[in-house]
Amino acid sequence: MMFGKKPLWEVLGESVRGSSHARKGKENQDAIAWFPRRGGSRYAILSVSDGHGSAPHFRSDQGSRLAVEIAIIALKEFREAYRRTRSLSLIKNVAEEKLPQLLCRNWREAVKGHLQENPITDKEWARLEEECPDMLKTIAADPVPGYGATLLAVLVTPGYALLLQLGDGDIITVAGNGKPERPLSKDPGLLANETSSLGMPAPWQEFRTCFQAFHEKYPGLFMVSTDGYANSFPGEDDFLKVGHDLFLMLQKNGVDDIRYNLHEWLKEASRVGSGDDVTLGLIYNKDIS
Amino acid sequence: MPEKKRPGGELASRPLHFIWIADCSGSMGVDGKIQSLNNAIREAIPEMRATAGENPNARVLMRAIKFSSGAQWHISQPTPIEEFKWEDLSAGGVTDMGKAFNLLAEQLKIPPMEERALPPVLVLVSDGQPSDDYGSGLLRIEELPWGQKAVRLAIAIGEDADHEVLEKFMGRYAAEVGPLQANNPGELKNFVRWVSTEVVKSASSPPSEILDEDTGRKKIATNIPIPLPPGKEEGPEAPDDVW
Repeated sequence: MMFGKKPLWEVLGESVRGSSHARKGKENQDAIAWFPRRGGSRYAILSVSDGHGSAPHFRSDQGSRLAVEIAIIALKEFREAYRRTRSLSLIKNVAEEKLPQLLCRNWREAVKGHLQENPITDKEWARLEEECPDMLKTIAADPVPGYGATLLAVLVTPGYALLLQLGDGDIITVAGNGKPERPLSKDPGLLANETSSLGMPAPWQEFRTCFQAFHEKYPGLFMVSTDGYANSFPGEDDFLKVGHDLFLMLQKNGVDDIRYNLHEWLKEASRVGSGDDVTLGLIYNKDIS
Repeated sequence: MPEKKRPGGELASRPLHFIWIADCSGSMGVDGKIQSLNNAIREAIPEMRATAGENPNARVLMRAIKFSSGAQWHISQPTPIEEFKWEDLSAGGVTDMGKAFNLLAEQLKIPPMEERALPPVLVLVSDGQPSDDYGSGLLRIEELPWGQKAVRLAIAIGEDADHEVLEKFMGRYAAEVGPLQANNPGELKNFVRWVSTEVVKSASSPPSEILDEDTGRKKIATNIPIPLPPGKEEGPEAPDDVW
């Protein structure tokens, strides 16, 4: 079923405000974007971001939105630039060496543009003064970290998949036989709520990347989520089972059931589990359904 | 369209481990200190339950270590606060704090600690000076990721408590709040209530912590923001210091 023929990829996703954020009256700090917006395509892009949400990161909801937008644009341009390149090694090297820096630079520029159009308001300064007075000077000198967010992105083409991750969150691949795996190793330095951020100096150094060349076999599914989802399960196996179960659902009933229920599933995960914002995106191989 | 079964395994809130490390040396039997500690912890439990109930996304699990001549788990099972019952401690023996730290370090490893847990809250209560090598036990705690991430606080009972040792246990939290000095049963009760409610509230919904934004290097760990502890009562109505 998943041999030889180049697959069509389709994308869907959902983001829900965390139940603890709802209790505190805080907005959803996660963001998600994908290409193509509807229908199948020979290549697909999915990006997810988690804004830090603490007091000094006063615009992290905007930071996560800008992050996923610039990721979609950058990966589209990257794919276009190398679509006729036959050497996968060359694509891999360029992707790993250049893309993290490009994404970070573009995000910083996008944030600066947003700040220029939307200067920090008196209300925001007042809130910063109340909630993190010791950070005022730092923020005044450079407000960009105030947009701090993570970034996870996946580009899938007929020849390869490229996975990029900065900070916490999860990228899971599900093979054509339904077996889920974690292609990017976990960052052992990140425990509890620690994360890397687009807002830190030289964030590209903290990017983890994975390049998967396809040799006739294609994966069934790529699953990208913010940490609020995995943190809603007691252990790794319970979380990885999501990938396996979604694969079986796609195989058996197609995508409509998932599309219809996804919002409620994520709401339930946040309510019963982590309480955090929860975002999940899927790139799936249409040949499995 | 019919609702489909949710994908994935069981869902669960994140565990928040709260561990008392209680000095039960002979001096804790003087002037009713040990009984005051028993009363304070027992009386704080209903408020702790109420605090935990406000955040259904954190599951507060409590247990306790006691140390005197040797150290052992007083309540060994991480017990949901809804089911937790305090068993009275009694005093007698020396102050083998280092042995208590060794016991604690074993439980801060992954496993048995869960990777997805919230930062644990560790509260050391002592009225004296360690009689064993506490330094190596403390080092074992500090070498563990959860030891570094834990909210480590200390309550000093009476004027003979060794603040230097308690500060070392508290690590980076020492600069923020310092050991909580209790000189009478009322102050002890206030501090126990504070760690059981305000600190639990902060630890149960920590904000994201970012790698050092000044240097770009990984921080060993950063503090969970905790509110200020209750201050000393002043004025003619203030209770006398008895310890």
